[in-house]
Amino acid sequence: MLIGLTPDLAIAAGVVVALLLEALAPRAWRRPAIVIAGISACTVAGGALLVVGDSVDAIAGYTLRPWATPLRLAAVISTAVAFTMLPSQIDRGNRRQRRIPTPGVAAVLLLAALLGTMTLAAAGDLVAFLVSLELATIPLLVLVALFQDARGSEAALKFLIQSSLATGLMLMGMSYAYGAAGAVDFAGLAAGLDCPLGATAAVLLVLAVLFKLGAVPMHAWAPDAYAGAPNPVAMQLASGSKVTGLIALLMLWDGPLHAYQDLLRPLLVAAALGSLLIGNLGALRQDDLRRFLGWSSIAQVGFFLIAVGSGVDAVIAIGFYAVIYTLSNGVVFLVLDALCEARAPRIASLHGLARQAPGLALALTLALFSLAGIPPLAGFLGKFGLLLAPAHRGAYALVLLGALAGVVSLYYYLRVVRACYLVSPATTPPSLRLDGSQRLGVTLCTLGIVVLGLWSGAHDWVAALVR
Amino acid sequence: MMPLLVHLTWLLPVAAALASMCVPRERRDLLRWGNLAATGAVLGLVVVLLGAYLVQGPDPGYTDGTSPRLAFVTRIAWFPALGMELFTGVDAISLLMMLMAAVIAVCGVLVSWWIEDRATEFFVLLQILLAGTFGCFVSVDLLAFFLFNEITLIPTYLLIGMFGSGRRDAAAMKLNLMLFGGSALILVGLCGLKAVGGSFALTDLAGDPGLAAAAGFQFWAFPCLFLGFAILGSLFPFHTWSPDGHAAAPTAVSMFLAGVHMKLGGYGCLRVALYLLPSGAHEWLWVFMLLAAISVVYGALIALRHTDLKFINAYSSVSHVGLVTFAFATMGATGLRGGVLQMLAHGFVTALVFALIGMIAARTGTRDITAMGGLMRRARFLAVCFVLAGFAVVAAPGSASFVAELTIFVAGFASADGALPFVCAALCVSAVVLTAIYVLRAVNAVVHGDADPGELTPPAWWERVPVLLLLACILGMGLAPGWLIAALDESLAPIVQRLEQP
Repeated sequence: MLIGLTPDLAIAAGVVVALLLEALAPRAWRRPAIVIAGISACTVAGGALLVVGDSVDAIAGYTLRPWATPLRLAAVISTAVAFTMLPSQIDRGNRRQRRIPTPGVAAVLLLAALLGTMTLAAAGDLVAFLVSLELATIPLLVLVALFQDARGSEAALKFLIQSSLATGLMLMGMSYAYGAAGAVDFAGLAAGLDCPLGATAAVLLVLAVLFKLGAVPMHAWAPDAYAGAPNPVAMQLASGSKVTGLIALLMLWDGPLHAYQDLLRPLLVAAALGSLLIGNLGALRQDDLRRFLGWSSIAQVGFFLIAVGSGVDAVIAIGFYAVIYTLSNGVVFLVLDALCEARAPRIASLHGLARQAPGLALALTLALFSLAGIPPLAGFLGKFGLLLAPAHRGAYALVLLGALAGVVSLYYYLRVVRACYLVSPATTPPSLRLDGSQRLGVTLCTLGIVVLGLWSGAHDWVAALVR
Repeated sequence: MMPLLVHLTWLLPVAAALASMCVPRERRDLLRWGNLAATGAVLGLVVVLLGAYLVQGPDPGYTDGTSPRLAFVTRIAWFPALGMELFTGVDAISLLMMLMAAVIAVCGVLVSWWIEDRATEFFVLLQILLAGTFGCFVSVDLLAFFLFNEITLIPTYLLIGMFGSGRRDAAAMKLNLMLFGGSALILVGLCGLKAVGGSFALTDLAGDPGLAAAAGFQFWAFPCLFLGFAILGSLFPFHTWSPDGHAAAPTAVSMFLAGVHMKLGGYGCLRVALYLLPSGAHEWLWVFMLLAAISVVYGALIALRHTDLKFINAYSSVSHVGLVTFAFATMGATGLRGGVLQMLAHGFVTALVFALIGMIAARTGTRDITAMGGLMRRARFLAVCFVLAGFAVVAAPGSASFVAELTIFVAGFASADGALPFVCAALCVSAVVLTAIYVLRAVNAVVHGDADPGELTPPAWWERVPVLLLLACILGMGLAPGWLIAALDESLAPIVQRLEQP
């Protein structure tokens, strides 16, 4: 029975080991040991998810949910990629580069955030839900400020204020829900919530989760956080926190807020369309690569939200695209990490990349096309699945708007590809630094987005888990 | 065996693309001959498949009623949770389009023999473009069809952006965004078809009674799908990507884009929109007939004003592909036949004209007809072929376009049951005169006159072969179209039957 808990236990063990290594290990091999511990924990957890992800045990309120396994896998992959980027953030010899002063702390916090996501998927009542969600958010607050410079601190402060607002809304919603239903466990809430007070609770809870997702109207923290944080943290924000938000939303949708689906649907549609619109508009003219990724991730969340609420097919599509989205993001952030810019890599930093490092440019191009939804990459099938889901319930206008938003997103992703292939650098070519672990990360992620688009095994696995 | 050959038509270009990536950059000869061998092999495969289809006919199970007359069918599940299958099969329409595509592909590789810088990237992207196109023609599963169609978008962008001329950056972006916008509309239609019809397979959707009865769904889904495909076929007013894109693209890409890629739109209109949604078609076709007729005249009028040869041909393509849409809008057997014939004929003709423009511009250093003249004195072969190509554009008897356009005009007037169709047909016929004006003007300015362009390099073997091959196809189709028309009619019968039903 404990087999089903292996992924979560692996991550918890990773947190403990990283803490012990940070406190006790000799300085010389502390850093490599921490990174290896982190990646090992993620690998074990990921492998365990693939093997025992379909278990449906319930142990004292810890309810394993098979449909959440692809989303948990996406979070694990996101943290693993973040760990491959960690060594380069630490070992940059150049004084002008931003360095992470305390890598052990970074590792512990990354794993703790991942642990929060994993336990969120198994929460059986509102208290566990709250604790897991906070565990997934608060370490990220510290991580955003890890460079200890003005920009990081400003981003972390904005993140903190919005996060506190979201937590406040969530607590208020939870107290209303308890008041309306008289229970905190999800089964009791699902049975007992059917009055206007419960409706208020539902809206408040969903708004809080929208913050976690980075969707409109709680999206303003995303571009600043991506720009101010170190690359591994930005990667975790881009994929890990989105996945956390999706798990939270889907759990609430099918569980306690079951009775309010018709009420919440307009809210979700408004959030989806708003995210698509604002995310696309923000990314259109953005030149700073990290802020660009922040805005485009808001638009990607819009795509996810289009599918929510459309039944089993939607959950399959969301799970599948979450994994593909994480892999694509991984490649983009790894290439970003390779560009040794002092402060902020711009799109202009990519000029001439195709001639200088053709493999890297090809990987970046494939990842951006996967994000844009171009076949034969896996992102196409992911996005198509997301758009097909609302069609089954007749919401064709939503499908059309999503497809048109995809066209706009193609424009700004093509701008980056254009910079790699069609423009020569004005002065010096970009300086690149890619060490072994990053190379491995880029190769594996790129292979992932190519293979998963052609071989149906992953998609079938996700479908089997959800059904 | 035969189904494997069908798959090889799109797998061979993929293999050629991967192989081209592995060839060292200095071995350009290996690259060129390898790609020529690959495209030649695909042409051979298509000829074999066409011959086998003409001899054997459709597979059992696809021979009656409104089922498409498919042969060499493969049907295996690909992404079962999404409902996508690798469902491929060919009938006469797809085989003839593939024949045209394969011929233009071979000619395109030959015309690009001179490319030195980044030749590897060029051929890799070209092969991916070919793979996507052939995959489109053999797919019977609509999601696979859509997937292959989307695959062609990015190579087009990179080819025009990296190897084009003029305002290539802006033209490539505009082309890509507008084509992707068209695909967005097609995507919505496809999602609707899956939701209402329950499957992505063309055959299943055709036989689904729920879809046939859903008049309300067909009412909005048909314009969505037809418009999405028509944007691919540069219907007015969504044609603006076409002239800029074709003019900015390198020669081989212009040939393939204008010759084959634009026809994917017409093919999609025929196979998907008209075939699956006939009651929606009856409601909306007058709109598309009007827009098509406007395209035909508009394209011709703009071509009259341009002096850049590539722009003249690009707008001429808008005009002639408008005839395809017009022919489909007449919805009769003759009209559909004329539309497919025009797709084939125009493909060959426009590829020939773009190839010749590329060769002439490379020698004279300009594409402006006011700066050229007297080509007949210095480059006899190119000039004579240019004149013949001009006759083909004007649809002189003996050329393939004559057969096609005559069929379309007969269909247009025969099926005109009101003032609007009659006016549209009259507009289309009037465009013949306009075509003659701008073609003869261009040919006259380039080939004749007192100017002397000086010593010009004689055409190499890799320039003569594509021109002669395309001329042979145009003349062959123009002088002996009987077998073609008989095969086409049989494959078009199910579509005609469905259009006549409601």
